[in-house]
Amino acid sequence: MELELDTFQVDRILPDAETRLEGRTLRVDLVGLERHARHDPRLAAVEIDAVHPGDSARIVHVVDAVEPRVRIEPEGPAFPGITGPPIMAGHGRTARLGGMAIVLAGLPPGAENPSFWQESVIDMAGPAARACPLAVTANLVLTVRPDPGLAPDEGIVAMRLASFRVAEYLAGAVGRGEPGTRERLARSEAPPGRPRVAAVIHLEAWGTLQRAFLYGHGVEGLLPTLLHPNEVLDGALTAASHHLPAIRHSTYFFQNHGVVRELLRRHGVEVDFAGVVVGRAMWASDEDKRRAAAFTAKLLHQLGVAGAVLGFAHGGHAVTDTALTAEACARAGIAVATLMFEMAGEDGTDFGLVQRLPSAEPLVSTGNIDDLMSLPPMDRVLGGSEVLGVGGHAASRERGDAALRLPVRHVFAASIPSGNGRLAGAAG
Amino acid sequence: MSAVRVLHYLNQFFAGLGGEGEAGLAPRLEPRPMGPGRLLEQRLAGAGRIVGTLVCGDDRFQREPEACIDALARLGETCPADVLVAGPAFDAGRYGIACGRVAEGLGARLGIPAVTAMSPDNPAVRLSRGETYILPTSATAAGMGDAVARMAAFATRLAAREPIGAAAEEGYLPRGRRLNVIRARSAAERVVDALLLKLRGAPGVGEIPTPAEEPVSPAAPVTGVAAARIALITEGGIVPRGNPDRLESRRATSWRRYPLPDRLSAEHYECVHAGFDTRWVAEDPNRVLPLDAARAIARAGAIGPLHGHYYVTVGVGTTTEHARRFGREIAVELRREGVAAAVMTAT
Repeated sequence: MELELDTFQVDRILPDAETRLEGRTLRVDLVGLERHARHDPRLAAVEIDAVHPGDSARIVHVVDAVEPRVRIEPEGPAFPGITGPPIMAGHGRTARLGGMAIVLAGLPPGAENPSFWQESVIDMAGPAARACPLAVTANLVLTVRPDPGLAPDEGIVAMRLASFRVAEYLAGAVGRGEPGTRERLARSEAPPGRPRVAAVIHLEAWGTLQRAFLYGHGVEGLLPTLLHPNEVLDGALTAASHHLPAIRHSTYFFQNHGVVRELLRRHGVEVDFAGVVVGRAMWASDEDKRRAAAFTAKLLHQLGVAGAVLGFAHGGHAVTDTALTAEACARAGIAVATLMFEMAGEDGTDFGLVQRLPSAEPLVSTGNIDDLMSLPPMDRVLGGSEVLGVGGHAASRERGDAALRLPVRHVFAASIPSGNGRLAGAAG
Repeated sequence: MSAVRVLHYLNQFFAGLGGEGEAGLAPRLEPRPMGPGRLLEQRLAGAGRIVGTLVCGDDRFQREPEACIDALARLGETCPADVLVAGPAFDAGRYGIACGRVAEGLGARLGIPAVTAMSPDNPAVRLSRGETYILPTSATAAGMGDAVARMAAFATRLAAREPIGAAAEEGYLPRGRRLNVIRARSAAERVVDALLLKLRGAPGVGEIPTPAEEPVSPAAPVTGVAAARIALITEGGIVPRGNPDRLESRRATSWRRYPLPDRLSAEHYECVHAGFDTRWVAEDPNRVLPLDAARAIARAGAIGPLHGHYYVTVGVGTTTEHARRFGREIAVELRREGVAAAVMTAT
């Protein structure tokens, strides 16, 4: 399986009468794009705006981020099963607008319920920007207000679809010419002597609250399955989560999955990258958790790998899914290294792991999500006007552009399990 | 910036006021650098000066640490400073403990940052509450020059209120806390490195230490359940509608106690827990606080009477420190009120 990934690099996004790419400046017909997004009658309002790294700007109510993509060859949807039929991804040719993201923002129906929705912020400057791997991209912020009469599930579907359609539309409009760079992503035969390794991606699955989709298929009942790395990077996985923004998956970081990218980069040089096992975590029962863990280890064993990188999906009991997977790998003689977030309290003095997981060691930290950051006021606020429920109380409201005391857990993608971030907990 | 004003703490020996025979020396303040303080001032190289040296005998401090800290604080208040430096103490046990306590207690009292230095094997390192910076030194005063140079540099940064990074990078001994840093390389690059090192059989390269297990011994079985008074406890956030006492939705720092109603209806009770999808429990709060089932088995005589109150907190992101305290506080109350056992429902 070989994928040609064409990159059209974007450094700046400017409004214009016509959508086109000039050098690295993406000129966007915002009115036309809004009209395109609003085509869905389930959406009451759509607003589009651009922010850039270093801007004094805060995006609130961030739902997801998506990299603009268009499938050139074979012709088909960039997000199979979401924006078109579920054809298999990861081969042929896909074009991407690199260096930018569509940031989907807004309040889904049901957002007033703190168990359903948590505030999610991207600052483009200051300490939260340093912690956020999406503060380094030019971001086209798509603020969407679904029809308030919709049920939460349907409102969320409509919001998400808008971001995928805008992503496809933009890449389709400017991503068909001669690309800046063309990468060939393939798992060619690795020279002997390289350790055979795999990546394990755990996905969220928790009702409407936390979801991920594989080719548009909700992963709730999914037993672990095998993907080619290219599929992960080419739109097979999409995210729809509304909780713990720092540690939840997002579509952009499936498309640019840090661990998958890193293993592909080292494929044939330092490792023989055998594939990606994806499965859901957050199984509700011990039996379900153990079945999925054993199944993952079995697939890894069938792949003949010596080692695997594990991640996590969400906090709480999802960490048990990671721990059990690590134990099953240990029994199968497969070495693991694991990405893990920490919850060590505001001052870092608490025990930071949800549970002990010695089989998963070494643990590589994606940061203490309890750490309280002091954020400066911002000139602009997008996505909404307020920051909601960031204290202990769901009902708290603060001005979106004000100085904030914000725990890392509300910073979108800061401690993401794909490993794209640079935030880490350290002994201090 | 004007020269940093350094307050320096020494024992009687390093201050040059005597050996073991003078270990009972009471706290005192000298308005000049003494002993290693002279070297410290040299190392500050004009960026700072020692405005005073606090001295206390090791035995004196050991005997009455609180009183000594008090006396040192009163002396220190007469000598405004930007930063407190204690030691270095090397492997001297009593002196090390004094330096640690002075850096932690006196710095806080005077409202200035503090640093001390000693051998990593000094028992005072283990006794430290993690509220001060301890720089590692050699075991003996042979390492004086190096220790004082690092203390001078560190003290200057503390005085300027510069942010201090992780222990490994900054060269202090870990204080038992986690600090967020921005790494040069992504977590993905680091975890692949860690896996490859593990596959090559290299020793542990983890970034998060796994602490020792803290086993919880189960309580003895309840005898005479049919007569036992049973309490209901939940971390599931069931509160009277409107959450009148503002129980936190996540990371709770407190618990509440409410009279047990006859029936737990959605009309009068709600769930404020922010860690799970509460739509179903919103329809029937008994699914988290199982009052309906408890009343039924109590009526059937399987258990004794239900305790007249239920206890509730929210267990999501709640720190173990707070959770331990909730447990202790609730247990004391249950005991006092003759409760023999509790059913604790978790989410």
